[in-house]
Amino acid sequence: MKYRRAPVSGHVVVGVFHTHPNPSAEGWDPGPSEADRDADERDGVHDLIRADNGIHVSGPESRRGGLAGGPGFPA
Amino acid sequence: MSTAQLLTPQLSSDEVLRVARLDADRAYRDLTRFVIRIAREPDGWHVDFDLQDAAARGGGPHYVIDPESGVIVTKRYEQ
Repeated sequence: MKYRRAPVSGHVVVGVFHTHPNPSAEGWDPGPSEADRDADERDGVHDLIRADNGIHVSGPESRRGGLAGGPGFPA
Repeated sequence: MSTAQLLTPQLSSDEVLRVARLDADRAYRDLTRFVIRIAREPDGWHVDFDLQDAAARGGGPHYVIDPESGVIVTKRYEQ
């Protein structure tokens, strides 16, 4: 899964959200994968993951560099 | 490899890979997105399915397989 960096004039991305729908009772890891963590580090925004056992978080606590910078994800 | 390990029948990497693929096929159905890594470690065979696209999110299955019985000791399904 890749996020499309949809350019919205005057807007910055402050976080992302995705789901981990597969059941943890069947062996599926509900938390962020290594690829999720790498992507969050790259993208520089907070990541919320909804799984069957609750919400997991990944990435920085807030947008890297704050609200400064151009639209979309932080540079 | 210890003497005990040498005297005990050990599964080949192909056989271990087959065990992992059967389980992975059932759980993920489509494995074309993954590159498979296999390594013999002290605790058994490690078989890891990692995404080919380094920029993508998600993940694949990861196994530790007993080198004698072929039993999956641990598995973790990333998503």
